[in-house]
Amino acid sequence: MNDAHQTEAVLLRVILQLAVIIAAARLAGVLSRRLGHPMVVGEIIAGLVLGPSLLGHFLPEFSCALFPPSTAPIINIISQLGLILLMFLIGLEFDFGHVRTHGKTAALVAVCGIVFPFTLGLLLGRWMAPHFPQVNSTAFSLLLATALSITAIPVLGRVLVEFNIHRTEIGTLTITAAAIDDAIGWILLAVVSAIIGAQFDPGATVRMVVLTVLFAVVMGLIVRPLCIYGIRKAMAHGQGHLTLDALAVVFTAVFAAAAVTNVIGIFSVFGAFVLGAVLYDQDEFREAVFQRLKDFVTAFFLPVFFTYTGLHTNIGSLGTGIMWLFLAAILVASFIGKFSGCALAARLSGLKPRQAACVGIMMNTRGLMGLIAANVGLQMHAIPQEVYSMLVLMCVFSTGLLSPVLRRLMTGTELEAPFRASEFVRDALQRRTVPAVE
Amino acid sequence: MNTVSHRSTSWLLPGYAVMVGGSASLYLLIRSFGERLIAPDAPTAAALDAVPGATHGSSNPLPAVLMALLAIILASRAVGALFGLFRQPRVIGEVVAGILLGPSVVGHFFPAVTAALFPSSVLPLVGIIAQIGVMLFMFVVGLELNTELLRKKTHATMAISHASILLPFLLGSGLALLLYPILSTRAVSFTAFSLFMGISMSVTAFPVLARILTDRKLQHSPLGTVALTCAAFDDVTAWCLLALVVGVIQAQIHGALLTTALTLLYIGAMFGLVRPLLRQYVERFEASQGSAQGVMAVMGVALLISSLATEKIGIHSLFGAFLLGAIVPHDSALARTLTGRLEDFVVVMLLPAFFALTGLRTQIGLISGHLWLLCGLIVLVACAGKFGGTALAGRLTGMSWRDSSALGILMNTRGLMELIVLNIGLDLKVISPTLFAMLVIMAVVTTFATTPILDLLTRRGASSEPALSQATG
Repeated sequence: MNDAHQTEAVLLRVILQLAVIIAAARLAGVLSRRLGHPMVVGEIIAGLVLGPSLLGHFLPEFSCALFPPSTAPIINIISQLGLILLMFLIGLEFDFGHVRTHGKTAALVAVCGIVFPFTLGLLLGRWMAPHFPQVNSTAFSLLLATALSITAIPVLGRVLVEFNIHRTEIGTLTITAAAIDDAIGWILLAVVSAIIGAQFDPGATVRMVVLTVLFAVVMGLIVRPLCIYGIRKAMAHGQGHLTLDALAVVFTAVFAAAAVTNVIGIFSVFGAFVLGAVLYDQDEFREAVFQRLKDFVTAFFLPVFFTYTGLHTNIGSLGTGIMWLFLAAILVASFIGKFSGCALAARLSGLKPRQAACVGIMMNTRGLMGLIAANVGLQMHAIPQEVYSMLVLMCVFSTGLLSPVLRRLMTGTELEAPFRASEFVRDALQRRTVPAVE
Repeated sequence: MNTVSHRSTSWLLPGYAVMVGGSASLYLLIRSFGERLIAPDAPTAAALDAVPGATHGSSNPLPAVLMALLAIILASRAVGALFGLFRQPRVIGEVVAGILLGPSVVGHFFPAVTAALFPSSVLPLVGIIAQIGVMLFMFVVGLELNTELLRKKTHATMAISHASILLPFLLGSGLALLLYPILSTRAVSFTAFSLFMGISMSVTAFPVLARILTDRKLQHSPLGTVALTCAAFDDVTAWCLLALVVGVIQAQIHGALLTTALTLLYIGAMFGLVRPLLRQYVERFEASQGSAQGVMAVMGVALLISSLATEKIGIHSLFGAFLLGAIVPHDSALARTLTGRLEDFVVVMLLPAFFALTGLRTQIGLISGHLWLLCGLIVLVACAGKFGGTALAGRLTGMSWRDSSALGILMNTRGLMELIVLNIGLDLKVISPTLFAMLVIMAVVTTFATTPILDLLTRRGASSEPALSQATG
């Protein structure tokens, strides 16, 4: 009977946590914006601050009182539900149109942007794996390589819009290449997680890969027409808005897709992403869904995910010298692999060195996609806690690098003029008390 | 609102004073009788446990939570749509869907299905989701509450709304005299029990009422305005009373004064300090075309803090959520942004989880034999108090019989506000699971009865012509 009271006590704790999480994320986001970085960098850092790396390290009692182990499953589930919804939104935003209009250059940049870091990641994995006997070395290398090769189009896209350079030639080229890399990255992650999930049993791996492909095909060929039919009717019925019934169907479909991929054995957010991606061209529907869900998901769920990530990241656990060496290696490898791969490909395709460097630095953005890959790895026990922390830092580092480096590199290129006219610069110049906004 | 107060209103003020004073002394009389009653001993804990205790599985609960949410959303939409076909408010269908999923129906006939859908490892998680949902919902209800309506009320509407609280409250606490020896335990004092019974009878579901009126395009008719004003007033009063009761129950006697003082202080601070701040924030938001995400974050944190504060004071966290919503300037861009962003998400995904949870706690199987008679009596008393009180007061203030009956039946809608109150009562152990099940049935029946009777009254009546045709739940 103390169930009700237990729930009540847990609820209070969760309310407190949510208040702290949302406030911290918002503050750090706005601060980071003031310092000239994308908001997401600050939000990720806020998560790290709340975790054992800082708060837990310096104020262990306070951190333990704020985030007791009993509430961990709740934060976990809220962050995962939020992630599922977010991945659906990201999938909806996915623009295959870019891929068609931009030809060979983008493809070359994209492919080099995957091959270089992936190879480096594999090499790095082989070197590091013996130090982590608790994980399977092949799984470890594969996951590390995948995490290094990811490019995060949502963050990148937002920064490009913020800088007002998304319509320039370099901008569109980069977005196209990033979109291709994003897709490849997800497929890679799906395949890697299938391989790891099947525990390297060739039969099981093949079965999982086949099921995943089958899932994607069914989504594209059967679910898509059904959805489009339903969307037509719903949009006509709701006059451009989603009715509550339609929203209920959307939730059901998203959760069902996530549940199916979970049953297949790959990570559940993939299903939500694929569902969004097959509906990428339903502009009216996307607008309606965004209007309903986007702000809630970004303001409420996303900070919880970052905090969940932060709670599992412990920079202090990188105690020994070799760990710091590994961290440095990961940071360098991630940068060298992505930046030089993309820049080289862009240069070979005829861009000027400075332009090519801009492309490279933009492609280097990992944003929260890198975090998701790291979380998948942690959940599948493919990477140890320490490496997880390193990957989180890698994401922060690569995303934090974008704004300052890009602003230096862009002088003299065609990016400069639109950037000068961007809201970002105006905001930074005026720097009034009005909170910086997305 | 001149249409309502045709007659002279000079007798209203003394009449009103007599009404309030008389009610208070009546309640004290009931209480003095009730204090002598003896309730049975508390039954063993096992019988009380509707929900099995939490077990902490180490595996990832995500798939199970996804399945539970899927079942909840689908069931609530399906049954809700079914009820919509019969011109019932959908919410009542959603409540019924929750009861169906619980031990009363699915759990009774297919225990394996309930066990598979809602294993004990998932329940606490769904519970938290539901609680957050109800909190957001109360916030939205507060946002939609038009405080201007309360300010502009006439003597007549004030008299009606007071009568529609006082009579059911008195009847409810009177009923407690009968119920206390049968359904309560010694652990609960008669004061707490009777206060709670009184409140549970006097709740009106403002959101459901507003939806019914909007569906029938009656919200701007004289009847609609009076009903909305009275319901808003009832809502505020009931929640204040509930806050008081929760304070009394949790703090016992000596702490109750402190709780009351703190509550008043809190309400004063919210209106005196936070409200002006909010006004500034609203102005800035409207001037700068600020982002919805920033507003969501700021107001989200404010909401959580307000809930925490009221919970710490000793009244329920939902009160804080409601209060914060109520002090946001009604119909400002801020309120519209928040409502637009929150409402659908809450209504589609989070509230059904609350209904399902309520359903899981409702064990209709506990009601048997003569208890059904009591259950019927509760329904009767609930209707007599709310419907009778409102209709009488309406008639006395000069409305036609038809209009005052329509008003009475509207105010009799209890809907999900009643469920929220009942869950609080069950959590505080003021009411037993058996009484909980009876009161849930009462809430469903009174809400269910509203639309057919209202249609009957307004169809033939000439008072509220405009468009009765279309409109589905």
